[in-house]
Amino acid sequence: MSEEEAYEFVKGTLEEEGIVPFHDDELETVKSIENCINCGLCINHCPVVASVGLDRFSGPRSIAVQLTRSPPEYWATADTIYLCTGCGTCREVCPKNVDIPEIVNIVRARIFKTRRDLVPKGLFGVHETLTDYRTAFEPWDDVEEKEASRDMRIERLGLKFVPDRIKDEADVLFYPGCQAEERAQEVREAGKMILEHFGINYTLLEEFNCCGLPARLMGDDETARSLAADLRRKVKALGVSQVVTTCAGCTSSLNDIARRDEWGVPVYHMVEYLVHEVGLDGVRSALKARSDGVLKVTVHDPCHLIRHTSRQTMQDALALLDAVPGVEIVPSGVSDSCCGGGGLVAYHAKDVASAVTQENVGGITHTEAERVVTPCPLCTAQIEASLFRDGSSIEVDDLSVFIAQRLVME
Amino acid sequence: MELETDVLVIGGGMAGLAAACSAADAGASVIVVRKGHGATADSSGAIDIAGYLPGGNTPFQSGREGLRAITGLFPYHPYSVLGQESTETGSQFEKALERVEHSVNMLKKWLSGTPAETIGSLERNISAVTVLGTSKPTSLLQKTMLPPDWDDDSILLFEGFAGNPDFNAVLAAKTFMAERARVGEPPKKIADSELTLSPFGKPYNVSPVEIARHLDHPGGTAFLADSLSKDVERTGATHIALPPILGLKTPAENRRILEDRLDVQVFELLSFPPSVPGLRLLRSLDNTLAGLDVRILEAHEAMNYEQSGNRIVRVQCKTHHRSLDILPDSVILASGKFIGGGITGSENGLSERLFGLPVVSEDWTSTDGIRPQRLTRPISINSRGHALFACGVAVDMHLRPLDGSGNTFAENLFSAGSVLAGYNYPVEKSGLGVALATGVFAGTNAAHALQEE
Ligand SMILES: Cc1cc2nc3c(=O)[nH]c(=O)nc-3n(C[C@H](O)[C@H](O)[C@H](O)COP(=O)(O)OP(=O)(O)OC[C@H]3O[C@@H](n4cnc5c(N)ncnc54)[C@H](O)[C@@H]3O)c2cc1C
Ligand code: SF4
Ligand code: SF4
Repeated sequence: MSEEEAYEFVKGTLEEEGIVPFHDDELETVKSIENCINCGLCINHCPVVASVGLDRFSGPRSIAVQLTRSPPEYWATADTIYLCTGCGTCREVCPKNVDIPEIVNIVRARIFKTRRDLVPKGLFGVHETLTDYRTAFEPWDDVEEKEASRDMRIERLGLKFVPDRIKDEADVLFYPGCQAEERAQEVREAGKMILEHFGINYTLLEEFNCCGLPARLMGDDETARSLAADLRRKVKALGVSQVVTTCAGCTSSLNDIARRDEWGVPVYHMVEYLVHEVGLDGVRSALKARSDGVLKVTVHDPCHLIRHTSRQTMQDALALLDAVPGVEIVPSGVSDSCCGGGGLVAYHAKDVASAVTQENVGGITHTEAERVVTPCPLCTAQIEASLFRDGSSIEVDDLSVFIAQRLVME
Repeated sequence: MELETDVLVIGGGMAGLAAACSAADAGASVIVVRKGHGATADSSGAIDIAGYLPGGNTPFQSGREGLRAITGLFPYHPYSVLGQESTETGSQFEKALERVEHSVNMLKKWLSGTPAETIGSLERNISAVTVLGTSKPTSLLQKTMLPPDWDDDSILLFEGFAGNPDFNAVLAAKTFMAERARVGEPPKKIADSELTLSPFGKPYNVSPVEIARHLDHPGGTAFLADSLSKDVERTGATHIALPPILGLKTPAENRRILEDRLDVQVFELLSFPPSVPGLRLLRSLDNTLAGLDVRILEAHEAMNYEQSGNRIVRVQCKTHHRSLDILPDSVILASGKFIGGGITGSENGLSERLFGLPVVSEDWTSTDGIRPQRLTRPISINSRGHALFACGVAVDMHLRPLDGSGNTFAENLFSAGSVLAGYNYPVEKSGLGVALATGVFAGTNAAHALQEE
């Protein structure tokens, strides 16, 4: 038997046992779990534990020391493992940097493969959309209707229409992400306006596809990897030297796959791009106040930026807001608390997601802020919905839209 | 990306936070990088200064007595280093005492008005009570954890919570009663009970932090008072010992509500990690630093450094997908020991992770090539402890780490806390105390070094 055959044989045996071997690129995460010293510090910080209690969600320590220790029994964790929002708080406080949010995806991938009947039903809608259309939201049937919706949003928000730019030999790929492609089209438009304004040689994808994050979060590893591979091919073919996105989830996910699949191209969030590539002085001189008086603004830090990319990104976001005339930033004290929108939890356990939101909403409504600004269209939607349910009149803006609205137009 | 700062503190436990506070108090700009939480967050929150002499079984009566004994017997103990500046014989203790006293006062100031407000002094050790019902000497306690005075008529009720596995009131009461009887001290009447308080509806797997958060909610503590009143009536309790769950935000206020409604005295026991008071301590110090305009860069790990001449000029930090270079004038290494991650062990011996500083053992010999197991004794609990916990980096009188030849590693690198060698905190009961005092001293030295430039 050749080595290759032997490997296949063993894999076959494992398959009968319901065991899916780890990919090479998963081993680092798997090893990090072995470093857990069972100290329990993570439990005190997990927003899901704080919102629904340890009995409903046994928490990150139990993920590290119990739920991930027995490959044949991964299926038995399905009622718990799908409740993690992937916020990354536990990894941030953990003295041993145990990578809980990643191991959660790895376990979900095993359940998805071997016991799909145990995957929460609420996730299959997204799954179907992803496999049918290669984006997380169903595309519009009618392109004209999509454009009408876009134009309405642009007009309401006072943005300017910039035609799509799809060209060869661009320096930068602008990747708006699924939410901005299909739903929050104003964010895509704002991103184009900003790049255009600063004279960036950018392009959009001719044919957009999802980065694979939602697939990875539900455990559909195959779809996630195939979407990532598609995207890599497109980025390589374009030959761009940078990728810029306006979405926090895409920032961390693109950075993950770009590192794993060796894109050799840096991926930035728009806030980082503006502060470090365009330069804060240039940005400052391009901005004007939108109306008289001072607008009191509080920020929300997307988990995917602060905990899955770098805490520095919000420093950049604050620097940008500070550069906008007529804006006063008021701290909420909860800016880095999870909005409940992560990990696809809201798709199948709405009660958990909205319990997690409580701290966030409570903190925001206790400030004098008239506006929440956050550099992510998904967080924007999530917080908007939570504040609305709470009866609050505070509005929420995506940061790219907020900036685009205040560009000095010639 | 690059950031400039006067003082860079590596590590955000007690040592790093105390160093950052004192450097900022002295007017320096400060950045703290913290790759995660460490032993400080994991502690019971009681701040031990000196409880025992290694090998001894009788606790010190006071921190002062402990300092005198330690500085007298161990000339290179971190407490002794604090007094090395004074050259006159016998005055090393006085100087060390002055420094520790100063750091205790600073800490009380930093924590005043926070949920971790702290009391105690070097004049008398406190006999704190643990969730096991045992007593432990400590110097400073959060206000809500101080055992109240009791007399022969007092009735102490240990109250547990159904579904909280960290505290067994029956056992605690039994153990405490046996100990009281042994030393012949009050209280003489001890009771235990358990109540059900299920913040999320079910009385299983209730974590202490859940209860603490619940008590911070409006009406949460009043509800607890109602539930407790039956047990108080039944037992006639004058004092109630609770596991440490009195709240994360307003523990003092919550205790007052209980005491007013029940006409008893209430206090919290010392508990296992992850304890609520440990969290309160860390959070409160973090907030104090925010008030001093100090940035704590969470999840940033110092990975590498650059040296120019005899100075550290650059420290490279990494976070999830980004890196950041910090250009400091002074650096304080407060990276902790095995939990914090400042020191790690492998089959090749112990090493200091960032600067590759030599790690020495209890007797100041190199640990190079020694398997960590060889630094432990066969019996796990014994009064001399394990040499492993006394291993760390050696320092000069300004707390600057030494290189392999005994020279100062870099003139602008200071260190503090459990990364230091020469003290065995688990047996001495000196962990947070050494971290605090060396932290304050290192922070002052680092700020002082700036002014000299
Ligand atoms: C379970 C337990 C209970 C204890 N209970 C008590 C008690 O009740 N009373 C008491 O007085 N003492 C107690 N101790 C001892 C005491 O907690 C420690 O001695 C003390 O907290 C040490 O503080 P430190 O700041 O030196 O280290 P730590 O608190 O461990 O802090 C080290 C910090 O450095 C960070 N770090 C490490 N490397 C890097 C790097 N390369 N880059 C960035 N950051 C880095 C870590 O993330 C961490 O934030 C206890 C210890 C343990 C383990
Ligand atoms: S990633 Fe967030 S939700 Fe998931 S276990 Fe960790 S702290 Fe909890
Ligand atoms: S904080 Fe890290 S080491 Fe501690 S229990 Fe949680 S995962 Fe394990």
